[in-house]
Amino acid sequence: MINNFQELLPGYALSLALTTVTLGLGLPLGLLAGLSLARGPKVLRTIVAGVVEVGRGVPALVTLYLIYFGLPSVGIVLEAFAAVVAGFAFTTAALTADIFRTAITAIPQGQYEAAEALALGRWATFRRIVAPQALRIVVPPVVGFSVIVFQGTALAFSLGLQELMGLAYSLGTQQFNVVPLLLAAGVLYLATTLIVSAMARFIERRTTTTVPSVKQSGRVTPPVPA
Amino acid sequence: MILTPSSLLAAAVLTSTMFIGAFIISVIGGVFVAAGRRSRLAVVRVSATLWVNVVRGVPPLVWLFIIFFGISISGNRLTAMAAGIVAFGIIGTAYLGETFRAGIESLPAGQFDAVKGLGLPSWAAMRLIILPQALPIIIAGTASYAINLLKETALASLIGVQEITYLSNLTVNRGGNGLIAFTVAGAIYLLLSLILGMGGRFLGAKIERKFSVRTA
Repeated sequence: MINNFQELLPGYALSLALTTVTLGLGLPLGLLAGLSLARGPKVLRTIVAGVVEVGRGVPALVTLYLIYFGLPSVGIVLEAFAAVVAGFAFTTAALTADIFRTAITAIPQGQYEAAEALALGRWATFRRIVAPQALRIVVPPVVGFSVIVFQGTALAFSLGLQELMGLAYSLGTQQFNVVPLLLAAGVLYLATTLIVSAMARFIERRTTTTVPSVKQSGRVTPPVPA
Repeated sequence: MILTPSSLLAAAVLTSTMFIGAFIISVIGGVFVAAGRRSRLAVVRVSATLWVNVVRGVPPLVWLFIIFFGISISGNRLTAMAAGIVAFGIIGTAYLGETFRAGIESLPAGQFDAVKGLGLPSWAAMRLIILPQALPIIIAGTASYAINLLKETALASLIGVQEITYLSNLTVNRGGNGLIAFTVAGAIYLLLSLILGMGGRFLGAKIERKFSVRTA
């Protein structure tokens, strides 16, 4: 069993790398989409809302295939890693757009008025007033979402990448030992998920400003997973 | 060209069958998981929590493969379709269990205190006081999970279930245009998830109307 884990480490590293690159590309895109949904002009809002709807309604696997097998017919050929990152970043942006949108709209109008009264420009208002407050709202769900992205990297297996799932499967079929290796991969996914989820809960406790209604009922509802 | 209306229809039927089968297992199992999470017995509570965390901690694709290959190793035959229904059904019990629980626990603590104060038996309290208020929230959460589940069924193409994604893949393998094949697949999923979303909203509105308290 310990041998299995050792064999799987390169795959685990690739899964983590995929997660990092996906989040690094997808989260800024999600922020842009969220900003457009919250504050953009109507035309932009409608277009972004449509794109977000597509990103949420189409399975990530189909998006991957569309990029990897579909785009070559219009002359865009991506290798598996790039295709996976592009597909996941798109899905990530679509799924986090709403998190960013609600965080931005949660900032009371008075804050904008106060910033205007202080003669702060648009950018200064965003950077100094809106962003610090929105960040507090955004961080816990985004950390939680990173777990979903990490688990989602298992799909890269379908394009032949040797990430955790792919490596477990290919080693398993070579050694006629598929199930134990898949179980070992499962344990690695589980351990990572539990650790990051615990971190998300910890951050949430640290950043949640106490709302009177929460105090009253003495109950904090956990966020419902997407 | 393999993407014909009749082959698409057959594939969409497989996707829907897998979805419906897994959804039924998820709802029934989810009720037990939610009840277990709220049980007075610590053993039950801990096992239910463990179930939720372990099931949700492993990617659905990995569960699908473990169940598909695990059962075939044990000498039993399980078709890919059945493996898909079982795997997605099991995963759904954990997610929907949490959705049900979160819906119930979203009510103000005072509601639970009041029910206790009235001395209502727990089943009556659940049926008369708690569920009518929690159901709209539960239905909204369930509808959004249903859309997730629908998209998840695409993974079953990787163990050979000939559903929508599989059909598009096959088309590409036989030299068809990938852009068209997967755009069609994506559009079908989008259409189905729009229908699910609409169904959820319709059901939610109906329930809300039925239980709404008439003021004035």
